[in-house]
Amino acid sequence: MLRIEGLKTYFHTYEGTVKALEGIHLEVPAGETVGLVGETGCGKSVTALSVLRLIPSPPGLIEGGRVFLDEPEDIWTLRNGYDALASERLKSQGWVGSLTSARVQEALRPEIEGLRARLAESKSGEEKGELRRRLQAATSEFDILQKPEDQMRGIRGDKISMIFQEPMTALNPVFTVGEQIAETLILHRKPALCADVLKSLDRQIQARQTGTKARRTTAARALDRLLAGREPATLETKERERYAQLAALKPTDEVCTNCYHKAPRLWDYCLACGVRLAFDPWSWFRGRIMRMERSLYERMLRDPEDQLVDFVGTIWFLRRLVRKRLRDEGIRWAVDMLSEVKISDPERIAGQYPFELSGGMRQRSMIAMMIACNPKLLIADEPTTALDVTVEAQILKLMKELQTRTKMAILLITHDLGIVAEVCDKVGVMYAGSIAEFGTTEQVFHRTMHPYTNGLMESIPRFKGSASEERKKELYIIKGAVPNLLHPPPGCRFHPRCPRALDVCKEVVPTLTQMEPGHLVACHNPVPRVAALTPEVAA
Amino acid sequence: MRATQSASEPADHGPGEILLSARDVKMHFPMRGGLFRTVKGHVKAVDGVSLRVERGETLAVVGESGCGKSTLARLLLGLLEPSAGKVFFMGHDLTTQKLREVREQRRHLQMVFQDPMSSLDPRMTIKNIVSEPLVVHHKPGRRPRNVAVVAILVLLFGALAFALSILAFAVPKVPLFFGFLSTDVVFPSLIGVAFSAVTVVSGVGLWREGTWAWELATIIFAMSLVVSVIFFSPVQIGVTALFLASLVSVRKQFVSAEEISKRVVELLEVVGLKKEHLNRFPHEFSGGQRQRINIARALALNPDVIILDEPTSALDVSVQAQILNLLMELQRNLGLTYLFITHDLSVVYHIADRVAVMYAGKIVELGATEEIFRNPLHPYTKALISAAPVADPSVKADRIVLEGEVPSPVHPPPGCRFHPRCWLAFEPCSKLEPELFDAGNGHRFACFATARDRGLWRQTGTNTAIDRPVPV
Repeated sequence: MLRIEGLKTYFHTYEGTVKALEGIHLEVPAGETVGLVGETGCGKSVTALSVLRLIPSPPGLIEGGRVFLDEPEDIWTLRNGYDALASERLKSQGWVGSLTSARVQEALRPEIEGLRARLAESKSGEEKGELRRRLQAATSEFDILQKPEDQMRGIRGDKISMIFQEPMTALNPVFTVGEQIAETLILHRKPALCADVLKSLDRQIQARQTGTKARRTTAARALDRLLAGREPATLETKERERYAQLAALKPTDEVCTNCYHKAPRLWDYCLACGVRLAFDPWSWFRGRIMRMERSLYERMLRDPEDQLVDFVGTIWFLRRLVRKRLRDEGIRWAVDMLSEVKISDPERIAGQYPFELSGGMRQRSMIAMMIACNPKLLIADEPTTALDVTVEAQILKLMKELQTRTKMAILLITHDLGIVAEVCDKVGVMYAGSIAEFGTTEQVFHRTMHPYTNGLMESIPRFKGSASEERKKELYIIKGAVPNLLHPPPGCRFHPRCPRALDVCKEVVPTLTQMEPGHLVACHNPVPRVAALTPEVAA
Repeated sequence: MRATQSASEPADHGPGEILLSARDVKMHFPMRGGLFRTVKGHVKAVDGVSLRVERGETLAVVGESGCGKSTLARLLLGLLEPSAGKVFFMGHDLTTQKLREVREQRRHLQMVFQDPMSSLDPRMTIKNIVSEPLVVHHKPGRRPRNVAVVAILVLLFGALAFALSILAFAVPKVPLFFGFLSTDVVFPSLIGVAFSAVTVVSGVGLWREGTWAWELATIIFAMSLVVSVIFFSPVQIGVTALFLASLVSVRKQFVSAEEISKRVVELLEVVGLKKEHLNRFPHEFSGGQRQRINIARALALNPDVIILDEPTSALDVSVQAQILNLLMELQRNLGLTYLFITHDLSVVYHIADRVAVMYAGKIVELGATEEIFRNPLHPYTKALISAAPVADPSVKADRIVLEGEVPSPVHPPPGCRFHPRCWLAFEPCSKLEPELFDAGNGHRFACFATARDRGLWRQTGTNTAIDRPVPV
């Protein structure tokens, strides 16, 4: 689903360049959960923000790399060939660094031009499709880093959504939860919402028409309606009586639509037949408004950027016509979403402000907002760090259930190895802006290769040992501190803290190499650790 | 008061000295509202908690946020006055003592807070931060008696002399109101006023050491000593020397600036920081180092008990390991007693001797760490232990996922507070509030279902154990 290749993000500050990400490689397959662990400041959150292109710039800049979202398998295989060709050419030009879409396109210019020309000439649909696919592969079509900002806005919240650590700061304090979910839906799911609005409008208009019993109308109107373009002579006997009755009145006299006798203004019921006859100009007006709304929403459905709708939306007293029902429908959907994330009494919660909710509820409503558009990729940045263990268990269970139902990919950023072990299928361990180890959870936890991962594992207090001396024995400590990314150590960034550092480590940056199928390690001196992680006192 | 929770009962977990104890402590914060700010209800943050902390042990208090852990910590420190119940520290009742006495006790009772950044003043250097407790608590427990006597005598003498010389200055003027002033009376009496004022100042300086009066008196007496040596007046030399000596001896009672900085360096070294860090500001440190500074500050006065309120929650695992190791080492070397408040059960298992599990303002289970983890008796403890994520993918046990949330402390559910979320709940749980039943070995729990299964309780309409008479 998501494929990050050589992502490089730098922050250009006055003190110097902070090399926050130094060539990240990561894959998040559909329907799987990939964990990203590491210490504070190792670039986990920067990775997420880079993928969403939300890095604050000026200081931050994505310097290189490509991020592919939702790339079909066949295009990927084609692209691999093109990439090899491109990097060969770039290497021969003496260029070193990470690939970007622009550079690849530059290197492959003859091929791309050739493909374009052939595409213009080709006739058969099959050939055209093949050529188009090749072109997509050669131009890195699915790279979201080369997308313009307005397209990105369509991707964020729709294809990729993000859950933030602190739900209180991520939610807007001046809008209710329902309104905020509705906002996302209006942005990304306007047509579907419009269709629902039209359906409910039709239903309401219908109900008004069938529900009417009798009203006042003028004699002239009643006559017009009775005749409906016919000659008075062609009327049936019953109708003819009524015609005579109406014709005797002045055209401006008001009559009852039930018996067509004169209905004096002062009485609120018909003196002839006794039906209640309150003249309700407001209700009539509402009917006209509803018709107007209907036509506007129809236009909106046909064309989301309709000129008339936009114009109506700019005038403050007409804005309601194109916003109110859309918003209400959005809130109705939001209530469904909230009940989907197992919030009891979702109608009430949808009308509440974030500060009225508890931490768990807030995080749930945050999740509801994020899954509202059925994203392909959900980035969860420390979703449970601010929560208690029992609530954390609830949220993790909920995320798993949602994933099995919607088949979305989850990138779970956390520093809690316990959560990773519990919910993730694959793990990437990050250290100082690069991936140190990547593999399935089982591989990383049980056949740890990288000394940093090993250190992390050892430093967690565990439910191990029963005698109090054994329980209280010292925890393993990774000596030193996280390096300053302004001046990261040369070679492997972990070497000053590494117990297994060699001379090579000080000079050469290790690359991610495959140690066993699916298990990638960036280390010059990897030693597999076969750990006995079985706790004696397990829950 | 319930029989189980009275402090008069003998300790049922070993013979250690009880440093800190709470006896049926309640903290109900009033909620005010309406036109006249009348009390509309109470937030029952802590609702009847009894516990004891022995010298040298680590007692962990576990529970979800909002269950009253931090309020309990504040009560035990004497920072809050409980609505009911008593808090004892080394035999002193913190709830009835005067503020001054409570402050005196607090040198032995220190606290480390959760967020290392917000508990350090960003405008103070590390030296100032760590030395602040030393400066605040510089006064000795009791003023030396001889100094007090001298100070009182000097004050009395000074006051008398002052009054007499004022009289000498003023009285002769009264009959001679019309234009006659005798210079031979006025000038000596003015000199008398000045000297007696100096005497009063020196008396104040002796009484309130370390104040401006002390500084002034010292300077004046040093000058007068020099003068009396020059003019060689043996009596004056003797008197001024005596005064100076008593002033200096008072000064000796508190720590000098050099001693403070020596102590600060020592403390920083104990927590693993260096001398270079002395003049830096908190923002220049990483989270782990900031927490070390907090610990150093707590250690400054050689306390007996340190209350640690989630000291590692804001830290990374690798840094957490460093801090935990440091805390354990300090406990070994200095014989400290910890009250460790946290929600991380693996940390509790690693560091604690005993665990108290809190739920909605009450202790629901209490016992030795191994006992609690191997054999949790309260369903909430079971859920808590099973919900804790274990960093091992091969352990994918069925987690007990509790439904619902922690109840509101304003209107806690009747009976057992856990019953709306409990899968063992039966009929009495919503009516009676369970006491702490004793399962032996100091392991106690507040659950009717478990107590019934263990034969400790029968459904008779009371909340007490079978073998204990119901207290009147």
